[in-house]
Amino acid sequence: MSQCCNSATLRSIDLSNVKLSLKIAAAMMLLVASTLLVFGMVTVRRETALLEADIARDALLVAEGIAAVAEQVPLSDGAVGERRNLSLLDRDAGEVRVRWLDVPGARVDQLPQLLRDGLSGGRATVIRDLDGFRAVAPVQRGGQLVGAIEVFETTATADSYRTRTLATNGLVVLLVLLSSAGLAVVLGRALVGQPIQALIRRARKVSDSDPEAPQRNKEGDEIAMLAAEIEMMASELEARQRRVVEESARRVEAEQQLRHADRLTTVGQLAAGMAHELGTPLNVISGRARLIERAASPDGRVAADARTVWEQADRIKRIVERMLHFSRRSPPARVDCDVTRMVRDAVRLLREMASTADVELCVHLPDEPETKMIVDPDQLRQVVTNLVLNGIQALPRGGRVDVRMCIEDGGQGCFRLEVSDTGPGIPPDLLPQLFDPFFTTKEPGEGTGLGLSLVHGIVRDHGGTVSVDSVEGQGTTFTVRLPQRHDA
Amino acid sequence: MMIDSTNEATDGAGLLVLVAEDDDELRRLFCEWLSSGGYRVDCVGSGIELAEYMADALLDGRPERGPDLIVSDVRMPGFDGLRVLRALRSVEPAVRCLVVTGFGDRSVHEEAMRLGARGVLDKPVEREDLLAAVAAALERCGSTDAARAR
Repeated sequence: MSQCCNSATLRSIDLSNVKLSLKIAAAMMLLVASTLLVFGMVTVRRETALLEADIARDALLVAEGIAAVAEQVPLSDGAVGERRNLSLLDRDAGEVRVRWLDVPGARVDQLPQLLRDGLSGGRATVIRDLDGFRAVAPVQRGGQLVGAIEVFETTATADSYRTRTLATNGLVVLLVLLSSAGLAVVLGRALVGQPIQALIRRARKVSDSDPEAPQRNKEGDEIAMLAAEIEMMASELEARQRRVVEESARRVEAEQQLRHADRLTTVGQLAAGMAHELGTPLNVISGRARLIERAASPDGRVAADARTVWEQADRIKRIVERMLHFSRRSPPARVDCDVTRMVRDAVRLLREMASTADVELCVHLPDEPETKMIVDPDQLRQVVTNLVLNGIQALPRGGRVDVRMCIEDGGQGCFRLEVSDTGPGIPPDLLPQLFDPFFTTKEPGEGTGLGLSLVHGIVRDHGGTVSVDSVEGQGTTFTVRLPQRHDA
Repeated sequence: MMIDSTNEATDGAGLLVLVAEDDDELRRLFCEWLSSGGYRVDCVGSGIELAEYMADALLDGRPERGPDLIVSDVRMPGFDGLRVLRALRSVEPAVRCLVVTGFGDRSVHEEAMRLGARGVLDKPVEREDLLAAVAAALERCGSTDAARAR
């Protein structure tokens, strides 16, 4: 078979599963052979027995017949003539030999005891004698035993018949054995070997995660059932693998978020520590400057300079406060609120800023009049504001910012907010740091770089995710997803 | 010479305020502000010095020599201001204390109030805020303390 020659391994597979059918075939053939042999031998033996019985009877009848004839033949030539005549009875026709036995005589004495007893008893008897049957019939004259007729018939024919029949029997059994062996091999390969090989190939492909169309087995036998099971197993494995891949992707993302949060916490702590330290010198600077201003003449240069000093000190104070505010974000105060309205309001407050920057601000909200969610409205408003501001700031030469809000998968699904701008996009190597605190691509003084990290922090506190999609030259889209919560 | 737009020279009524602040410049500033507000001012530069000062005043058997108000920074080297406050109040419950902390740690606020501080101020403190807080803290002094002859 051509399939056997694909590879050495396949060939060995081929032999090993033909062994299975050979085992079955061997058992069957053994049974058939022994049955045939036994039956054959029994039949032969019976027929041989019948044949031999026939021969025996034949010998007896011939002996009796010739004896009867001999009793009627008149003997008129005297004793010598009688003997001559009677010896003419001796015949040897190959299978049948007839002899005249004188009584008393040497030949008679050589007879087996049983025959001599028969003679004395005046009756014809036949016995088995080596390779034939010997019948002896008495010849009586005037009530006196004068001689006997001996007929010997060989059983050579019967013997040769038996031998021939046994030989034929054996030959037939051998032929049956060979032909059924051949049939078993052929059928084994066709019904067992090939389907199993196909299954093995399929199973190999499954374990190698090789996608292949499921095969269909036409017959309804056990191998077809096995094939069906393998197909089910294959699709189950595929589904499981897909789930594993999805889960690891999710886990990787969760780890990333966690690592990010860790960084934020560290930075937050650093910021807090730094802020505490800064308070003291700021106090001194601000306080002394105010004292100078107070002590100097109100319109003089000194007063003006002193005012500048404490104003700048106040500015530092505000920056530090903002930083602290970021690091000390409070947990979300969740209440039932209408997120549709919240988004609308937040965007409305930014319209003026957008128009000043020559930015078209479009908002797309779901059709339902309101959408209830349990979130912290102030913090979420901050998220919307920061993202839209970020978008506006990405369009120095004007452009468009789209705000899309929807609920995924119907009423019970995630809250989803997308803020896209048509700006220059973000280079891919900057994307990992995007949500880091103090990361900013703006000029110094134009922003703290805390906006996006605040967004990230708030979203995370709400149990959601924020992601960014950016194509250089086309624009950027931020996507916030928040799961629904039904308990306050 | 200092010219105050608001004449607060007599508002302090001669009450004694103890300033505990480890930063020299800031301590100097507070002391100047409080003096200008009419208070008598003493100052210490660390938690240990504060403890020594208070021990001096309280264990000496002359509580009237103790300060009417302590203005203390919460974080000083070696000595947690709140611990000091707790210790002080266990010895002398009548001790009045104003706590100063860096950039308004909410937990510090709560802890300080719980320990009986008369108020908490966040650095950077402005002169007006400090004087107002001191006045408020001393408000409950009443005439008895004001009558204490110095």
